[in-house]
Amino acid sequence: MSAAKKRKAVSKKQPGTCQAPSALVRMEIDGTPVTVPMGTTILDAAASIGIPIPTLCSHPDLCRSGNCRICCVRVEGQDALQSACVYPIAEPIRVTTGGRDIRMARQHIVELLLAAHRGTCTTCRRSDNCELRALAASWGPDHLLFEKPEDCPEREDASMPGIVRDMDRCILCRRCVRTCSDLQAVGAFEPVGKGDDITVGTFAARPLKDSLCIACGQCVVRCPTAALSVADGTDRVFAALDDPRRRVVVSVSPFVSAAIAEEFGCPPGTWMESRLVTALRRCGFDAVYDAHLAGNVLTVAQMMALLKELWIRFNSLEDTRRPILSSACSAWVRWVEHFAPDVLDWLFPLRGPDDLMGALLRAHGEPDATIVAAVPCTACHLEIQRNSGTGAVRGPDAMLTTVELARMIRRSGIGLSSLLEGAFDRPSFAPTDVMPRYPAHGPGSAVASLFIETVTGSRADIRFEEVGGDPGLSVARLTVDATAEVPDWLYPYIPQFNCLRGDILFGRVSGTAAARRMLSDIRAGGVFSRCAFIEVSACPDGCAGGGGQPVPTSPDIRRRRLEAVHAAVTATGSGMHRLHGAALAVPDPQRLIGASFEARGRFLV
Amino acid sequence: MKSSLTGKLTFALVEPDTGLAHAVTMSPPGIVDELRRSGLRGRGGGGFEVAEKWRLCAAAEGPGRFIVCNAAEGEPGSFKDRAILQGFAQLVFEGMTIAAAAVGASRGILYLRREYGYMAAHMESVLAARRHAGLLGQCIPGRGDFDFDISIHLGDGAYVCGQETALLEYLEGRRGEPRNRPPWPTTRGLRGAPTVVHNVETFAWVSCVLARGAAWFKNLGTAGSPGLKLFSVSGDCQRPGVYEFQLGFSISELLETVGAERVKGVQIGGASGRMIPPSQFHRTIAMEDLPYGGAIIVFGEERDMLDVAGNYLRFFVRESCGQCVPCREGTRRLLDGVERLRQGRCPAVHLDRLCELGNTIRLTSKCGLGQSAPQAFLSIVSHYRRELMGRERHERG
Amino acid sequence: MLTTERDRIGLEIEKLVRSYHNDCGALIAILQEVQRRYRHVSQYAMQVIADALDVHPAQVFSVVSYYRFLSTTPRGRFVIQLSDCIAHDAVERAAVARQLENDLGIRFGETTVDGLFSLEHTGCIGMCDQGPVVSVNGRIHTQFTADRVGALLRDCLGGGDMVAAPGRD
Ligand SMILES: Cc1cc2nc3c(=O)[nH]c(=O)nc-3n(C[C@H](O)[C@H](O)[C@H](O)COP(=O)(O)O)c2cc1C
Ligand code: SF4
Ligand code: SF4
Ligand code: SF4
Ligand code: FES
Repeated sequence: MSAAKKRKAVSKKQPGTCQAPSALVRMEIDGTPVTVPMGTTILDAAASIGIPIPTLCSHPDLCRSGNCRICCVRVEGQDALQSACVYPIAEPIRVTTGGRDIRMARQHIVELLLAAHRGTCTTCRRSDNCELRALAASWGPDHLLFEKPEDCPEREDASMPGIVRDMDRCILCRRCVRTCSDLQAVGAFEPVGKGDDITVGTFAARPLKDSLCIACGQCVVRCPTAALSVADGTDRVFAALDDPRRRVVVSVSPFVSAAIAEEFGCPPGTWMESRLVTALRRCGFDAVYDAHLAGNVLTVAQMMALLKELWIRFNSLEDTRRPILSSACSAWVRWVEHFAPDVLDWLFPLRGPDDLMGALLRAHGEPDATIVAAVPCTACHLEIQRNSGTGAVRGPDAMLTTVELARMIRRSGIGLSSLLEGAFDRPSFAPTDVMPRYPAHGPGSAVASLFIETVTGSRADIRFEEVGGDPGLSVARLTVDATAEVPDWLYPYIPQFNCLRGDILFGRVSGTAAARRMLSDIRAGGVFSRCAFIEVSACPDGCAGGGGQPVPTSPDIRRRRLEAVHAAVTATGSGMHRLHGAALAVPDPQRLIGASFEARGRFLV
Repeated sequence: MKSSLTGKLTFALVEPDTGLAHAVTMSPPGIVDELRRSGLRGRGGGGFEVAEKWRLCAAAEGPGRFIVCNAAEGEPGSFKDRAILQGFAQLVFEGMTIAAAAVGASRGILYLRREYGYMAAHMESVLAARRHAGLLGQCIPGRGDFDFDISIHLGDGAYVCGQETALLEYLEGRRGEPRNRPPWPTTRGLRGAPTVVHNVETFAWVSCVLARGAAWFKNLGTAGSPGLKLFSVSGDCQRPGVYEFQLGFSISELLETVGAERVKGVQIGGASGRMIPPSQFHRTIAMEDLPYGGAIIVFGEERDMLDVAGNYLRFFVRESCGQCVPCREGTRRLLDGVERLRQGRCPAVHLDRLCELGNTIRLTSKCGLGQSAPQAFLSIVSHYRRELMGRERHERG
Repeated sequence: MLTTERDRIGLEIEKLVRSYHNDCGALIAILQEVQRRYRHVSQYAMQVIADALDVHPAQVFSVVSYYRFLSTTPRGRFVIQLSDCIAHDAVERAAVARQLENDLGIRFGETTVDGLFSLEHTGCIGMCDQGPVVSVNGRIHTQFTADRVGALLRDCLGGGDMVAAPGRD
């Protein structure tokens, strides 16, 4: 049965802030007058004048739901309290945000949630950044009035590698529901049942691995409690490190360095790479590698594929008008396998960078080591699963997400502030003169940068611009005017660059819901159908917002992480092809870098 | 069916379609004005002024407009809508057509609770007859540009679907969970279009008002609650049934009419209403005093008020849509409290705290279900506290 | 054999969904019809519907789980419901309940092994003035008493007019 041709059920709720007609309304909050655009919510209006209102179910990335009611305020003239996060201001109202009723109400709401929540804070991994616990500290009661549920059955669902669901800790805020359907266009979670039997669940209460989940972990980074969390793989890695006979090495994704500082109390956007390298050595890793290298290898491979395709198109009569889609993100690949199997062959089948890094290390110099990958992502596990048994060179033996890595460092008793700076080890395949850091996915797309540098012989400033005000969709228009000589190593792919003169479009898509819109745009012949290459990542704002990154997340936090990655980029593409060549100098390079995908469809039975 | 006034319901005396015939000669704002003069308020519980709803809907921008008749009648103790639909479906459809003429709607939907599915065939035949007579369908006579038709949708057994925005969610094929308001259905209702939702009885009165004139209606009842209203009376009385009263009657008058003696309390407004003790039987049913729902349940002296509170709370725990915290978690805690009272394990301070919690549920719930769920409990605790306390202690079992 | 049966049902459901122009606004109407035809909405049916409407199966499941009249396991051919409306005489109602359980050999909330009868409680069904009330497949029996249980069940099995399907259902 063909998938994804028709319109998906549009999410019914509009973002609280999305309707912003230009008219202004003058209103009053706690006696302070404020003028806001018509339709602004009370919550946003209050925030604009520095009045804090507690929230729980709302999230900066999601449409508002108004189900927790912790943000209740009094609107003069109304009997009941109103939820500030969903109340659009349409007339000059007067609002009070405090008083006995409101204080008691918030205390009751926290108390009711605590009473229904089976978690025990002292042993909970999310204790330090649990939003329920934070609310309880400010608004909760001193003693619990209601008994907690007596039985405490262990109902964990750890079927999906990398993700653990513990519904005993769920407070039914439905952020995961909104995330999975509105941001990710998956919809694995929905409210199930009603009244006091309600839960948030999967189709027919199946384990997550059987529910079309793509393991992006976006629900994990938005869950306010530990109901959804990253599975802990630190014990396995510790066991390897504790074994003196084993050599254990780790590769670090730049997106980990861009975010891990948050786990140690630093503000978002703090770049922490060299001290992280030292910390990992202190943890006992025998070598610490930069996974960026594999990213560079992929960039070259993708550009070569692109040039080859463009040459073929130049020589063919037919205008296929079909972009090459990247396949570096395994959650995105899984999404296509489930929801758009008909476009699977638009993907250029390559491994993802962190998985490839493991395979490269294994093929070059580290055949016997236990290889660990430090990643921002929960979906990398899928890639390991996908490759096993296919004859591909095995990738990393273990994956640690940013939050797990931070936990490891804490548990090793390492204080980051006193550490000296360290440098990455050089893997044996990397030529000694090249250690380039090339723009990764983010403010500039690596493939686009390398393409223009290679084809024109000079670097260009690449600016992606949002398409239709959709933060998940952007396109960069590059102009090829002068062309360089075709270097020898590209000659087998494209004999001349002159055919590339003119404009060429590169697309960038983040979030699978945005990717779904991108596919419809292509089918409708929109701007994406004219793109030569589209880089897609499943998570909003790409790996900076991966499912294994620190909680909380917001557009602002992710922007800062991206800026940190971008600032660390030193950049010239020269020599990258030598890195690529050296890395793939093995008898069967396809076993190293290639991937194969499977059309899975949406049926679960 | 009985009426305290004439032995016959007004609905039986009004000639069907005279109201509509009158309405099609008027301008849309003229119809709204006539209703405003009558002072008719919604009969579904909220008591919102009908004319104002229509004005808002007519003024809203939208692709098309809808008229929705709410025949969910899920309120325990209410059956007047069933009686109206069985006896006077004509008047209801007529009222919907008048509303459509006033606000400019071309589609009407009657949401019928599943338990009343056995009436659907009869109602379809009434609709067919009206279409045949040119009172529904295209170009309804009198106003060349006026098309309107009505379809019947069977509900699926959720009380909260009677809440108007939950009903709209249902009609759009989703879980019947109430929406955030504002925006109200009059500006953004079914599929985003401005929508008027009324109770069955409200539409029937609309027909009567247009047939007999606003002044007739306005002069009945009280200043704040003009007109007549139907009540479902059941429980411990000799003559349960549907009664028509002028608003402003006292509870003692009612009890006399229905033949109830040795009464311990009267629940006004069904499960979401409140319990009135004998000391307040002089009070009257009108917006100015006791807000009215359609259901009145009489409880005799042998009833245990704790059972009553428990029964109603159990209903809400089960029927809550479960989306918002105070209603989902709070009603369950109140019900626990009732169990503790029953087992003699509820200290007085705990009961006081439960009452405070009840107040929070009332104030913070998203929709009317949660906002009214604690009412029965709170009124029973405040009027029958002596009866609730001091029960023999049972260990938990 | 089994797969062909399933394929047949799948095709029937797809046809049904097409008759609603694959409009996800018609989801509940579709589910009602599937429930009516097959007496439940199976996991397979939910997936076929989800696929045809292009929504996630969990969304269909979520809707099914919300409404009392939709069920994911087959209900009995005769669904017997006893109203627990508070206005009814509690003593008489309890007697009716016990007798129903006695005669059918199941408890409330269960379905007989032969798939013939399901026994359920229901809230007030708008017959407060005429209780106790029993409904069989939507057909209402008012002022019901325990001694009428036997006749009612016999009537179900004999296809008598006490249980003839009501107007639309
Ligand atoms: C939980 C809940 C259940 C309701 N059930 C009904 C109902 O069964 N019938 C009804 O007419 N109104 C019901 N209402 C009221 C409706 O939301 C709405 O106010 C009413 O249909 C408006 O009609 P009116 O203007 O005629 O009063 C209910 C409200 C709530 C909160
Ligand atoms: S799992 Fe987490 S995000 Fe989802 S509803 Fe529960 S608490 Fe909220
Ligand atoms: S991991 Fe991603 S796809 Fe899976 S349930 Fe969470 S948000 Fe949905
Ligand atoms: S008050 Fe109850 S029924 Fe209403 S929205 Fe909240 S949970 Fe749902
Ligand atoms: S934050 Fe406003 S209702 Fe939850």
